Amino acid sequence: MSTQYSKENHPHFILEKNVDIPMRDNALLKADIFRPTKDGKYPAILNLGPYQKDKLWATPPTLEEKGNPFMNWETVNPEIWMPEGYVSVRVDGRGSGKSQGQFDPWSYGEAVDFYDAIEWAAKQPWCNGNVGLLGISYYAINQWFVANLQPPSLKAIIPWEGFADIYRDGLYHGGILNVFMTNWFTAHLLHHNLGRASETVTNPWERNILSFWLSNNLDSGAFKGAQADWSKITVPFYSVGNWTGMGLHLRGNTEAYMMSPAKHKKLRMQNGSHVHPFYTAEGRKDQMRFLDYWLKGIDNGIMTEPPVKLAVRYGNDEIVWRHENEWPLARTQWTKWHIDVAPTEQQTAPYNGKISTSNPSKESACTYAATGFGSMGSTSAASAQVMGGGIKPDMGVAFYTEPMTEDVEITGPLSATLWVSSSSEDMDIFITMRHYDENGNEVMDTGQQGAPVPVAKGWLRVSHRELDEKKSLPYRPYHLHQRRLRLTPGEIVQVQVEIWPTSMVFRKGHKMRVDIQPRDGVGSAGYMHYHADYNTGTNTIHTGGQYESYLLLPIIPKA
Amino acid sequence: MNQMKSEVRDGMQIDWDAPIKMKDGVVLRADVFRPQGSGKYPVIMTYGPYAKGLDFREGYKSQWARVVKAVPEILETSSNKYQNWELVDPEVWVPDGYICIRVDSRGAGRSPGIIDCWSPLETEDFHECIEWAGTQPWSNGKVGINGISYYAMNQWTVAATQPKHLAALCIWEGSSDFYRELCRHGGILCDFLGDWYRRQVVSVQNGVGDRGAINHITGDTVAGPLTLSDEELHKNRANLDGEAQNREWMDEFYRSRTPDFSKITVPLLSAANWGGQGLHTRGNFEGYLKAGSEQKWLEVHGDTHFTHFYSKYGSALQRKFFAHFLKGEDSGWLDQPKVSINIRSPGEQFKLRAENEWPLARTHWTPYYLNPSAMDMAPTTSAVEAKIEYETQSDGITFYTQVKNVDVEITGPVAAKVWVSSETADADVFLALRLYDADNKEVVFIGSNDPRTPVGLGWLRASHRKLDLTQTKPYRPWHTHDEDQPLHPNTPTELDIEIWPTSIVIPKGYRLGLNVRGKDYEFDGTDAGVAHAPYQMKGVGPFWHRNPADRPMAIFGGKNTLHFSEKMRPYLLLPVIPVN
Repeated sequence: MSTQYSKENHPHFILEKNVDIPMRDNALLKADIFRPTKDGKYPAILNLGPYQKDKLWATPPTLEEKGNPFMNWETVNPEIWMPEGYVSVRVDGRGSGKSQGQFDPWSYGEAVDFYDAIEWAAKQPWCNGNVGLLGISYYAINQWFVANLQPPSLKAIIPWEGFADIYRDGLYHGGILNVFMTNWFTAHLLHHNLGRASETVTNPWERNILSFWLSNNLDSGAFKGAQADWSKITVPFYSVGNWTGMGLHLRGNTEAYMMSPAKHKKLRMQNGSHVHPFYTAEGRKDQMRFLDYWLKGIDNGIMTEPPVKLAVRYGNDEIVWRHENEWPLARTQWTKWHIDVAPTEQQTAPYNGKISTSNPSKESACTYAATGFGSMGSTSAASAQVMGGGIKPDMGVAFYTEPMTEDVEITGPLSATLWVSSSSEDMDIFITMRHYDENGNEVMDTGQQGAPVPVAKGWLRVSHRELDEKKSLPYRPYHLHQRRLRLTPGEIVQVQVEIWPTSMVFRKGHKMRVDIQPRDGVGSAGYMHYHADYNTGTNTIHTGGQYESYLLLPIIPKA
Repeated sequence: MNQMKSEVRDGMQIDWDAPIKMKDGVVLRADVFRPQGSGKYPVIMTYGPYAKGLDFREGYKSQWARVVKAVPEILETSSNKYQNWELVDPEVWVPDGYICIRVDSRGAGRSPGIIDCWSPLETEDFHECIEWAGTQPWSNGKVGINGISYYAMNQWTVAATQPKHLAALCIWEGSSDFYRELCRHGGILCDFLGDWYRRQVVSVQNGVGDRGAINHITGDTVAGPLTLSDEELHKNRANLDGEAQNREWMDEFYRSRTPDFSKITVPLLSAANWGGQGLHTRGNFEGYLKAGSEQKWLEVHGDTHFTHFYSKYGSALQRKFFAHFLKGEDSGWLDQPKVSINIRSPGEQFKLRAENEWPLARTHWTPYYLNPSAMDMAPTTSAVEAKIEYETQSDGITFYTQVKNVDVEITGPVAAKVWVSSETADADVFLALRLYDADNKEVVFIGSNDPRTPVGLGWLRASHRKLDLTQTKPYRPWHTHDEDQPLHPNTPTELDIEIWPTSIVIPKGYRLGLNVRGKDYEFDGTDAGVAHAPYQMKGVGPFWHRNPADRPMAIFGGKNTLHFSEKMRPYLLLPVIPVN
């Protein structure tokens, strides 16, 4: 495909293709610019990334907006947005698509390029000087990172399902490698070598990206370009997360709302598919009203409405939208639900425990195998999913509540405080919060990637348990990930596990179940984790007495 | 066969693996980054063993993360993909009209041969490389050297061989006394050399080849092209730390790796770090003082080993210096004060001050006498008969200055005189100058290789106490390390101990402590928790002294004793700087 500039007139927009955008180091990035048919000055919406402006997104029939030949993955639909008086600028990131250079995803260099593209766009004759950012996923994530740099012409951002800390949200959940990221690299970036883009950019890599990600397995600062610096993010933003994005795009969006000092900020937490809501009338209304306010100066009242909009979930994809004034909710009853592994009957796997509202006086412990056994056996270095047969469903310990005596709503961040030990020098903890109906059937939701997901998940590699005391909150522990505090076999330590925020109403008669496991639990499709070879032998959970182990839950009282 | 490759990239003409033939026939390899076109430009050259093709960001990821944290502007001025450990960035220097040349030293990286760090042969190689660079068609004939650490240390030695084309030295944290600063502190073997060698040199020795890192830009192995067997690799490297361990006393091994300073005549800038105790600090001061150069400058800073080399402050200083001496530009360098020092206060506060000399002429050299009854130290003394015993494996004993209601500045070399006895025929004495705030919490500083370093450190093995009186000054004892003078068990013996130069403003309400110990300083016993740190950081970074072969517990364990009497009045000599 050509890299030549061209200008085309279409019924809904003028399209300029392969416009050169100069960077501060004289590199030229190629962009496609969609403008309204009528000359004038309009706000610009920018995207910059690796997904290639010339790669058509064939939309699924289930998408509310109708597809057309100008659809591009996770960006706005030109046939709808240009007639509304917006310019869309799709920039191929350095080393991607039509832009020469070497690609370095979510690097500081990319953020600087983005900054230059924003300031360039603001000065174009068709621009009213106001630039906004709107996009999903990659095009949401790097909004945070360019916002770190505070480009003066950037007036509003809508990171729609975008993680904000590549270490904690993306690569290393609780210190454990999230293989979604390495899979994403193969799924989306191998086009750089094998796809059409490779004909334009023959040397696309700044460095060995996989090696860079894997070797920086502590939060050393190497990922500085890919971590939101909340103190710097003061641009008005509408942060949009997805409860079912546990594993990628959830934590960053709530963290933004909690941590940023921005005066004008909004939070929307939704459910379901990663792309569909973006292209609905309901979703678009939130986007356009926010951008109309900040980029066109239309006072449509959006900034006087309650800043938080939550899809309160009931399970089986049933939701009720609710507006709130803050996050976490001020009326939250922070409640400890203790876990108890005292044996009830015989203690053979799967282990079952109880959840009670007070700390059991009796100390108990239960020990379980840390290694799964697949159809090809087990080698300690491998995750179960690559050794045949997937993960055994009943590894670890499960805890059940009694049936709820009334509807119980849990909405907010949550955490687990556990006492644990291992026969090895480390231990991986996977927590899965689950929902069962009165007939004992599991209640799940359709996840962001289309597969069923449970209520919430949390992860911690025990050697990463050291907290950042300044940033930690009881309901949201914040780990340093600066050094590994290895275990001496048998040593009992307290850990705090961050469980990613959730919203779920357990109806009367339903039960909550909590799994604590050495491997990915149910509903992890898409977001599996990699275990290093020391995660073997047996792990032990201690409860009761001096080993007060509990979940801290955000219970929302009935209005 | 290793071929030179030339290409234009990122606005630079780059020659990868340019051959430089040594007089014994060995061909060393260099990467040359220069402006495009046919002009003649001055050269910034370095020669060393860290492999020119190794990406700083990946080969030294912990340090890179710390550079980025300390000097975030580094990310704005360059893509950083040509960054190489402790060297200048060609993406920054080439557009400014310099040629950057990085030579892999003999046996390291892409250069074949037997690796023997700091050997006289390396110095000869470096000399030849400088003369090569000064006579290339693209060279204006002026070669400068600019680098940290290894790339600073060998500036002292090569400059003493007086290469014709060598025009200026920027010696950024580079020790200059191989025995006293690198191998043996006060005669005590430092573990750094052996750890460093395996971690940073053996890992990129020529012939590691396919088993090692890749240069992401060229796709070549950084320590190839050949891949040699372990036996061949072993044969191809000197037993550097073994030599230092086996040679307790000053000899030809050490002397041949230390320059004749009087022969250094080229203009130089010596940049020292207060927090480099254990390796470089002393060498920048001693080298500056001894160098025969008429044009020489001293600069002193804080923070990590690499922060200011890349910071706006440090790089501006370097550019000004080289613009003057290599380009002949009127960069304003001649207005640079002879001595410019960043005076240090708690909380990483520094105040840059111009001075004319080192040590400062206006210094009030003040003995602070150790008082065993109050465990304090003060400029006054009275005779007391006392003994204080300490466990060598404990945190030792500490004497504190009295609290003042004004700030007191200490800037300069420090020395201590003590009378020590041991149950055995020897004792290793470790001194630490430690600062305590009004709540008695120790105040530490970001040092070169550890984020929690004390104000000052000194070391002496009692059997090495013989002084060279021609070189000794009251504030800087000079030990010869050439005669074993064992202790008589349980007999007090006078020791003069050097504490490396330091600077601290003691705020009112704070106290300075002299900690006398029998083992290495530790801050609070914990590791600093620097991500991906290549070694534990407990206060002395990698500069431990724990080798049982050098410090057998039968001799250096047990108890030592400090003695006080009418005749034995131990003191700490502090350089107090008067307020003008």
